[in-house]
Amino acid sequence: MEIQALRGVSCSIAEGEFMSIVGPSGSGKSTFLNLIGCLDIPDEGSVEINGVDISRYSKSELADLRRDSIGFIFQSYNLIPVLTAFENISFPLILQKIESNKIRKRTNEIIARVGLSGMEHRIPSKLSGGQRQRVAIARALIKSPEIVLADEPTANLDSDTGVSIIKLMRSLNEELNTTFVILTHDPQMMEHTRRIIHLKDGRIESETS
Amino acid sequence: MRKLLVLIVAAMVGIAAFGQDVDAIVDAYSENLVFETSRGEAEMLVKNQYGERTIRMIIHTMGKADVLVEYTSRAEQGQKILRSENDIYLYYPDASEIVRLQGAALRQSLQGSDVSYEDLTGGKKLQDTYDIDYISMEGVEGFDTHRLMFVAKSRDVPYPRQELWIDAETYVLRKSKLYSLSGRLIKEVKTLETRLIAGKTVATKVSIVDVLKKDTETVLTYTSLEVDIELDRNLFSLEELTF
Amino acid sequence: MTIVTLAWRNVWRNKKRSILSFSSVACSCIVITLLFGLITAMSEDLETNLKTHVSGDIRVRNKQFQEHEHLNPLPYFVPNRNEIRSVIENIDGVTVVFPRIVLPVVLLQDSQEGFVIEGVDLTRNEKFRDFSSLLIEGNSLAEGFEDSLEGVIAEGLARKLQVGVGDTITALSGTVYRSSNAMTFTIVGIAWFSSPEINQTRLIVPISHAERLSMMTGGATELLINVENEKNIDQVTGLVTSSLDPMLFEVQKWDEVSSTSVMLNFAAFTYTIIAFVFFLLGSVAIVNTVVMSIFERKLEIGLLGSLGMRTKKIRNIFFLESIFISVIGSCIGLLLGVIMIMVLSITGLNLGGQMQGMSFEFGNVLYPRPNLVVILGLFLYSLSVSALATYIPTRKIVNMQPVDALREE
Repeated sequence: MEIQALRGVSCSIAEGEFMSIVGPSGSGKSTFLNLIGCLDIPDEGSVEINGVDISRYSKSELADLRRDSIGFIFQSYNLIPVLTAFENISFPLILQKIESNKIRKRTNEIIARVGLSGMEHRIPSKLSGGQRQRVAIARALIKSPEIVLADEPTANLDSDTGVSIIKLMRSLNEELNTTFVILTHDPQMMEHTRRIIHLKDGRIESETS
Repeated sequence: MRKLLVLIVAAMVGIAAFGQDVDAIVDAYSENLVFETSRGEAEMLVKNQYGERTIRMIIHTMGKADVLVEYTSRAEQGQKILRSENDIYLYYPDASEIVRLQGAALRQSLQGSDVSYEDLTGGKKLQDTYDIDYISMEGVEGFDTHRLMFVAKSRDVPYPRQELWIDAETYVLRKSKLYSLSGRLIKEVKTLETRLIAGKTVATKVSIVDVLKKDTETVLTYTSLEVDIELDRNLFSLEELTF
Repeated sequence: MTIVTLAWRNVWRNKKRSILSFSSVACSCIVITLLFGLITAMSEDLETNLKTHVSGDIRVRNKQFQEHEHLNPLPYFVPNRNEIRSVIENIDGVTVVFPRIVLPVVLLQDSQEGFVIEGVDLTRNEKFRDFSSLLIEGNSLAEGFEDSLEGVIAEGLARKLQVGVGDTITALSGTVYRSSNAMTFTIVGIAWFSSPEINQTRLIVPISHAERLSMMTGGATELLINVENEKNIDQVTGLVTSSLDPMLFEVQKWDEVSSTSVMLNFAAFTYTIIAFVFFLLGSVAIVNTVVMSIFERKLEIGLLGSLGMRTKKIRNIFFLESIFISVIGSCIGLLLGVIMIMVLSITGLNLGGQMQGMSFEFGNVLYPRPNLVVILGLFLYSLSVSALATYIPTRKIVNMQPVDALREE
């Protein structure tokens, strides 16, 4: 039985946008995010990044695209448990085969920026939820991606921590002009975003800004 | 009436001829075999899968029971066989012991020939050891012979069944066939030459074939034979053997 | 920080499971190490025994002896042994030439009791096998022909015939003329031979006596040759062969002489197959670990994919983890195996019960020794088998889509 996760969705996202996508479960939010993140290819229609249709890319080219241009932030942080905060954060740069001095410099910078100074040598199991999410954010941003995709980033955090995460993401967006597309249920998150897309049953129900 | 009489007489003669006392024939045969003493030089030609070999020996006998064989050929130099009181002893010059052959050991062959140590045993009165039947009168190599069948009364003889063709005139053995209990042919003996010595016809050249072995023959030849000479009884003693 | 470091740390994530995997590999390595240590010991023992008691490094016999061996062909002997011996002794690379007359005999009084008389050249016997060190009782043989015929008996034979120093033993033998002959020997000494076959059957006498008994005047049933340098054995064999009439003589290297040698080579081959099976079984735990890891860390795989890591590299992480486990397990196993072998090399392993009745040319008590080449080979073998076994389940990672992996969420 074929289930269409998204139907007739047409959307364009501009550089530097800070937007959220909301909708009940099953509305197709995750699929939407996966498409933008080049984790999935549409059965019908196309996804273009910077004007290039991603269906033209091979598996390894898509991987390279993700490596260089797209950052992910997950609901459950998804950090590598055996690596320290520092190593988790610097991981994407290692994949890019950047020289270790540069990696060290860049990582320390972003650690300071997300407010994790002093925590960098701890492994995830020794960090609080909020700290872990900061690590995830730092990891997503360290390679200066064009777009950051966040899947319910505050879902597992208490409201105070959640707010600080939201504020962090917002300020990074303003500083670096990185596009943020955030999946969320959190009303506080929604409040901070400039554009909200409502999905229902695979379709865009409404859009607010 | 006359015809009938002739037939009856003929039959009676025939019966008488038949009744040719088997006993008497056997006695005459046994008597012919034995001298009081004898000394002979003999050669045994052994033919088998390895080729031919001649073994030389000096044989002393006394009566029916005592035999001393001394090997004189190089390969067997100094070895002796003594038969005394129905026991067989072997002497080897480099061995400090004498072997008394018994049981299965007696079936071993002499130096690879068709003659076994067992063949040297015997000496008891044939009629005591065997049931003897007269089979027929037959010609063997141009000689008239009595063909007799010997069946042993007990188990402890080398050949439980024997057929002997005994010369009708000289009572020397012309041919014999030696069988196992089941009737299987084991050896064949043929007299090739005889000589008249001291009134007895003696087989001086005999062929023995062990049928169970493949392509073998042993020919025993007396090159010289003196009979009824002076022999020291001690010659046939164990002490003498080791000397 | 490389994938090597990542893989290494991942090994220790689930300590219990990893330890189970090491142990599994280690166990199979221990077993196989011991097995190979045993067979190495057997081979070495066999070689020593063959060379010392049966054939030397090279053996010369009458060519027809071999053809008729089952018939005990005494007539096919090596004539003029001293002449032939001199010829061979002059060949480069030959240290000792040891002529012997070996006669299968029986007790004169009991033809069911068979044994073997070995007539030896006394001086060379000493040089060849350090004979006096084998004596456990009495004296060795004196030079020259004695009126009292003397012999040294092997310990096992002495036990069997219940004779000792001072007793006599009379042997009945065939001769080169296919006649028989007997000779009485006085036992002057008892010697112990490490090869059970030799130890159960031999009576050693001066060659002149054996010569007289078998009437093999001036001859020998065989000439055993020792070479100076093992490595040149083929060359020396060639030289010996070319110096003798090939129609009359047969020249053999020690490893061509015994069927046990062939058997052991076959056994070694079989053990290699057994080793494969064992290593494979040992790898079962690792394979299980890998499969479970992939299952449990699907999310992580998806993450790495989303970070832009190529699937082949992701697979390599898991593959490396299993290699680490295999290396650790193999090292531990081989080390323990080597330690056990070293213990056994001192205490000896008594196969007495198992080997009774079998006449192999190696002793009942074996002293295994660790062989570094074998150990290294086993290490690599173990690693290869593990690698092969774990490669297959990791392949599916390559085919995974990050999106599917992430969906586990």
